[in-house]
Amino acid sequence: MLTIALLAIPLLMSGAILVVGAKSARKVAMASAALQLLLTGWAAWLWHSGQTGLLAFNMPWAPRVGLSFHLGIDGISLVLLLLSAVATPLILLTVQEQKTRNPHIFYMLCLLMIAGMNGAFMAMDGLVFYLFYELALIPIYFIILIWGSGDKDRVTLKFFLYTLFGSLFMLLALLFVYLQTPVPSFELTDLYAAGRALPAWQQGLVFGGIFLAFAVKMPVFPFHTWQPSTYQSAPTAGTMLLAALMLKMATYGIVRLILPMVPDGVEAYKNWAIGLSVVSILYASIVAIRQRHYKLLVAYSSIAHVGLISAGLLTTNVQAVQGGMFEMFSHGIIAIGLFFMTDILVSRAGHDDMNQMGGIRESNPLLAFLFFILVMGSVALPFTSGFVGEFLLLAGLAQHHLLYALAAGLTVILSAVYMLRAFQRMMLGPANTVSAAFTALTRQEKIVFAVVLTLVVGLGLFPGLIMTLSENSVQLLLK
Amino acid sequence: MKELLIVSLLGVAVLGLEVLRLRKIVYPLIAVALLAVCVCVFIDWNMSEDPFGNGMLRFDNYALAFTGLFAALTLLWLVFSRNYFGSGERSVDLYALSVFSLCGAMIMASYQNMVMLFLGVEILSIPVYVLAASKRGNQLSNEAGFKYFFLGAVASAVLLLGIALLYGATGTFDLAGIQSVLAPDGAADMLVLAGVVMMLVGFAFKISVVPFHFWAPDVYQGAPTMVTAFMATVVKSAAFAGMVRFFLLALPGEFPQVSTILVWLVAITLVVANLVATVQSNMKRMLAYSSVAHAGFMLAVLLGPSADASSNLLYYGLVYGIGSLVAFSVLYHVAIFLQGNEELSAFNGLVRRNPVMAGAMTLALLSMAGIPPLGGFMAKYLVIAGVLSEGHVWLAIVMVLTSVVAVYYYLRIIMAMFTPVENSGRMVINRREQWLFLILSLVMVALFAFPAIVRI
Repeated sequence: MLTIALLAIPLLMSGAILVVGAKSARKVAMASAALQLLLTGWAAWLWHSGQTGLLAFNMPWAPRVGLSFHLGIDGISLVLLLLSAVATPLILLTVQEQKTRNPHIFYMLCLLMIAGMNGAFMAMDGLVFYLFYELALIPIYFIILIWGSGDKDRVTLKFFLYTLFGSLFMLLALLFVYLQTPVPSFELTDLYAAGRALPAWQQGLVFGGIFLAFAVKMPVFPFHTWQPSTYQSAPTAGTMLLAALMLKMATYGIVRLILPMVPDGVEAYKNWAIGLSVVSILYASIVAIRQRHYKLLVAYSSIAHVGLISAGLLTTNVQAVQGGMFEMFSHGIIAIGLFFMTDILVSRAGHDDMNQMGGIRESNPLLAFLFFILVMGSVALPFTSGFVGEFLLLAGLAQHHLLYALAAGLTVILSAVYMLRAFQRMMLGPANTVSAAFTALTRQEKIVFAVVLTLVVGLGLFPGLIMTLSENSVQLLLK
Repeated sequence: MKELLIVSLLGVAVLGLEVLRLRKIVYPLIAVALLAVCVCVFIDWNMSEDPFGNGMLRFDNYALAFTGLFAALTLLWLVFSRNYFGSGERSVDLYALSVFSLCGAMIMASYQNMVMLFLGVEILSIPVYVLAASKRGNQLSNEAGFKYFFLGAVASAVLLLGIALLYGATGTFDLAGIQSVLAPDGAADMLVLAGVVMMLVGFAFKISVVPFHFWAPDVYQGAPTMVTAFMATVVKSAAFAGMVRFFLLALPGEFPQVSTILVWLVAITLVVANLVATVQSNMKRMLAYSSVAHAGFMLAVLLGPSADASSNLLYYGLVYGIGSLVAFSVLYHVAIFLQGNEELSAFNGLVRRNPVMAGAMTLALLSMAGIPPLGGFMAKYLVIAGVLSEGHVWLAIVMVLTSVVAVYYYLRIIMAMFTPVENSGRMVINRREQWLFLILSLVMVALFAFPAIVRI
């Protein structure tokens, strides 16, 4: 029942927002986020104490085609659900109501998207996963189309068609496995059994189809071309939804669908996918160094970090997969912080062109300090959450092949280059007219930073909080 | 059988009311009668009536389900087109013509004898030829009516030739009789094959699949918008109902030669129609090509497991019917608001002009594009799953790829609706239609959530 609640609350609340209108929309949205956080916390506690009764829900849907509405929560889901529960209130907090036309529609679409992603994180049925995966696309499409900036028509079109194109191949691959099940069923456990029974080359095809969908969504080179322009066009809350949560559906999907369903296919062809991911890391890092605009820099850095997650997960090494789970959470939190900086820059300077900035430390030392910690998390300094995940991922990659680990390890160095350069260009140097505009942080901004940085440092010190949740489930899935 | 009687009598009654100068009660009478048909469908469900008239018609569950679909779609269509029909002298003619056409549609869903198939096709089509030309002063409308009539007549002739050849080969017009004569493994002599292929070509004209689709864009564009809506929903589903009934009841379960033709027809239709649709700027032509593309999907139900074919077709027909009814009705209002502008740009800023219509249109387009959580996704999914389970892997891939192309031209309309325009002004439509748009939006979502209820 808890699972249904996690899905129903954002859905119902988004309906409620339409009813109450623009004035109290924010309150309703925050109430939804608070309830979600509470319920997810409860779910984590239930899972931790081994009472899993409330964590499953199963109802036949279209039995003729073997479809059942099966939701469930295990350790892996829980990590992502916790991320969603923490990210939702933060993202809602960052919405600048004065600058948003029809804010209630905006909140409504945000909550719809959250509902879709929560559904995907809890789906225990292959087709249900696919449905929620697609469902989350529609609200974000409209968020960018309506509130985006720049050439948003072309950008959203590319984004929508590109991701849809990818995910339809996942649908074909899932259908292919579904047709092999002895009794028609999309139940994940049945799909696992059917997928494993396939010969390796067919498993490879299934792997390819599903990975294509995820490679577009994450994104991985060369399927990334939609991402920077979309991130740039989207309003900041939309970018956060994309970077912190939506792409996690893809990395989660690798753990949930690919690894247990087609292990032989992964074994046979994983070097291709890992190779692509590593290329993606290097490419994105180098491009990031060349960026002038802060938001684009963070967008490319996101490609690099996600490439590392993807490469690590595909090694199928327990340590790396655990690292990947942790990094998903950590990357989500850090992405929110980094993209929130865009909002702060744009609201004060009117743009995010780093060449025209400088000396912000003079006018707003607190902001410089907070941003510095964030940068440290992003470049994976020890005792930040970024370090734990990336270390485990790289260690896992090294066990697979040292060369990959070395190439991927460059990400740490390169990210230090572009993040520190960004810090230097924006925060240091002599004060100028732009930096003078950087007035003190508002209460709302402080809250967002406080939560993000507490998590970045806290999880860096106590990674076990997340790791223990997913440990058993990861081992079970990889068996 | 009651259903057909009600509708036939209704057609005569509508004409009679005009004579009696009771024009005002025509619309309510039709509404009540169509509701009664829907109720009768529920009453007769699973009764499996005996064939009627020496085995001419048989109202089995298949016939009942499609009868209900046609009646419901016609009823919804009437609500939307009441404005177009107006209350003048011509209105009663138009009402009567559409009721007669509905009659033909019901015969096409229930025939047991190929003679009735031909009668059904003609009764369905002839009123629509007239309806297409019903904007008498308009050259395009006249052209549409003439073109539709001419090509429709050719298609009927080809269909009739096929029926005759099949009769020559089997010695019977009865569907069950034909099936019992034909070899169950699909081994057939040239005469049977020629007959079936001729019939297939005749049907292909009616359902407008490539390469027999050339009339569709011109006729869809020229005909008055609400008549186009009728053609895209009721007439199209009826043609499909007739075709699938023939394939399921008269042909053996395995018919490899015909399957091969079908696979190619579907593939060519999907590729050509979707690609051509992307370059259309006139909305009616774009929707016409989209309708051709959907015909490709609906035709593919015959390539899936035959046990599911009728259910899948019914579901697809319902979902697509609702989607295109909404789309054409919105287009009708938009064109009136902008003095006959039917280009894509006419949709600019619709979201400000009338949010309800823009919302319904968005859902209808997303549904036709096959995006969850809307009925269109489930409809396409069921067809693709069926095709895949019969081993047509490459066809499934073509279907998936062309779906992405289709999303492109549907999204263009959605983007236009969200493009701001200056001095947009409000577009006011009457309350009844406003509510109907809302309800149909919910129905599109509900059909996704409960696909199992639409089942024969």
